Amino acid sequence: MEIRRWHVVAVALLAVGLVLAWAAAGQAGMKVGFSVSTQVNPFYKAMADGVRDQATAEGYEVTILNADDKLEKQIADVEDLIQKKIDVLIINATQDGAAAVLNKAADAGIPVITLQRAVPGAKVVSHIGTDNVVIGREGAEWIAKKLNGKGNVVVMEGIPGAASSEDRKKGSAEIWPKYPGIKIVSQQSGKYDRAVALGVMENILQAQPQIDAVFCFNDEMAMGALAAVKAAKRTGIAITGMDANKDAREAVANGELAMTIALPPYDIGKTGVIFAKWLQTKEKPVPALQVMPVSFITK
Amino acid sequence: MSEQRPEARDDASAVGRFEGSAVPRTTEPPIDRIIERPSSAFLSPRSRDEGSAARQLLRGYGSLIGLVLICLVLSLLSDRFLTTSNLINVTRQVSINAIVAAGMTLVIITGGIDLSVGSTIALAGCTALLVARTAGDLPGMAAGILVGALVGVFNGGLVAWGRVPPFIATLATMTIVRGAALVLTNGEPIVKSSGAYLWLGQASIGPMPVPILLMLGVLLGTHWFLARTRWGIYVYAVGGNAEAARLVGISLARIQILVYALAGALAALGGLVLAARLSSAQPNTGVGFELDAIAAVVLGGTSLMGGEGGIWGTTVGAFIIGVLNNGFNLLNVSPFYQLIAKGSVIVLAVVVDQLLKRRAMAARGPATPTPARSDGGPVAPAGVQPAGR
Repeated sequence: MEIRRWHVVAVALLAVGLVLAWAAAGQAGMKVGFSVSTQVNPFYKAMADGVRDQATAEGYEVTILNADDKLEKQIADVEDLIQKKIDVLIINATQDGAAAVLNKAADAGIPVITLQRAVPGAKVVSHIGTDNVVIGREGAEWIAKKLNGKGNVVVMEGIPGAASSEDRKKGSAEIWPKYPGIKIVSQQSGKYDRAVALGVMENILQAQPQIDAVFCFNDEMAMGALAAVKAAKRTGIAITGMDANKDAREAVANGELAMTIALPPYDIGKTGVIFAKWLQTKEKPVPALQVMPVSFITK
Repeated sequence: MSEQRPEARDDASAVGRFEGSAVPRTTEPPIDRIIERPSSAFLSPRSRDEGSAARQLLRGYGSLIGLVLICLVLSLLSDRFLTTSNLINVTRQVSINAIVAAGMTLVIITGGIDLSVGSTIALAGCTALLVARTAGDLPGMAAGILVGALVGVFNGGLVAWGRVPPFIATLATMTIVRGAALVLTNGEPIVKSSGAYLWLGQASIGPMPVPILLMLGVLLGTHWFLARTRWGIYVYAVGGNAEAARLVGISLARIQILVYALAGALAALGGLVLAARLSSAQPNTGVGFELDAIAAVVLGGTSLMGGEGGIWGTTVGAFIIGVLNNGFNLLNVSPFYQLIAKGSVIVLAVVVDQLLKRRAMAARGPATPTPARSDGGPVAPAGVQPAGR
């Protein structure tokens, strides 16, 4: 009996405490600042929408500043946000050069969360974004499964040496050995360019009588490869892209491309605000690195 | 280049003088009479051409031998290389670069360079498809070519009247035109999957794809222009010795604007073929195409100093680049090694070409009055003075 009464009191106190805490949080609100690199590109527009929508849903006061792809403007923006005494800084950096001002925020006691672009040398509590190695891995896995583990695959890389291309290459290279039936008959660079990919694919079509899939590291090259395959009147070749561009989506919809990979900018923005909440409420530990899953767009 | 800049101001007046008095613009006699002297027989189309057919062949030999060697090696390494379908494939791929490089040849012979052709390819394609959407395909194509020619006129104007060195002028135009293409399209590709314009890239006449026929037309046309017309002589003259050309009454400005306009229009034609091949135009395509075109010209033995060279060599140069790319893909060479191999082959071909050229020159020896220029480029003809000097 004694124990039970103690329980009741404890639960009641906890409930009152939570209500008070909630009320206090509601009154003070949380001030979230988001500095975004640009709003010209739809990718970053969607990211800012994600931040705004989630912050509104949580009842936070949110300030979104657009750096117009200029580091100087971004530094000034972040300094303004520090002056505004925001509680959490979320930033999609323009360049690595943002590190100094991010540390200024951290030193002022403002936790920093980076989105999509990691900033080396900056004191951040969390980074949220996609990982090109993972994208390469998952794309290769998709192709292997699509071909039931057996077939001739052409890999179309991006610009030789570009970090995104090399990471995607690294990721896909981890997958192929798991499928002994998959043969990489050609692995060439289309330089992320539709016109270049057209020529490269035409040449590969000359050399390879049997091709089952073409794994392209972006949509532009997928569209170029598609033009080459169509002109050569070859059929039964599954071509995949990445980025989910408008015309690639259309090509997927009418069955010309097999798949394109969509990145989740909106979810990256939302997750940034959710992590900001967790920092405040401590309801869950905030991971230092959150790799966001990509999605496959198919017909 | 730089030393004739101060005097170049006289161009207009010099032309005016000739137009007004001694030298009517279009007719045969005066300039020819002035120029066609024993000491400068090379300036007459016919005599220059007689020497030049053999000489141009000789000049092209280095690269031609290189091309044959590359083909030989590739046919040994890949049984797919020497097939009819692959040879047509390579030629079709070469066609765009060859069309662009033909215009580049004219510019380089005048001692200039055009770095803006890659951007022009993109702008022309985008303009053409945007106009075609509302006004129809033919006006669209015309608009594309016109935009290319205007970019060229702008380049030529900067070089001729603005006295901006061609490298800087066309470097600036390159970024301006790229920006214009991005603004025009809002950075998005323009897709047009039907229409008469597709004929340029996707149709064939008999077994011959249209791009190949267009390339043949452009190559023959520019060769004819250089070898058979008065304007062709002037192009060599401007690059060979601008001061002498000016003294005999050739308008530097007019020639420069003409060659840049032709280069722009031909780049635009290349852009239309590219758009037709892809059923779409991209504002960010054609990056680095200017370097392939310049490489084709230089591989073909045309000197970057101007005053010599020709279309035949450029054709061989364009094929070397196309065949190399084709071979790399057929043999699945790693993209990293491709970069090294491509550069090495270019260096090798140019070195062989230089050696052959020097030998040919030594063999010709004293018979050639102007050994400094392998084709006897138009050096100031003795005794040639315009009226009033």
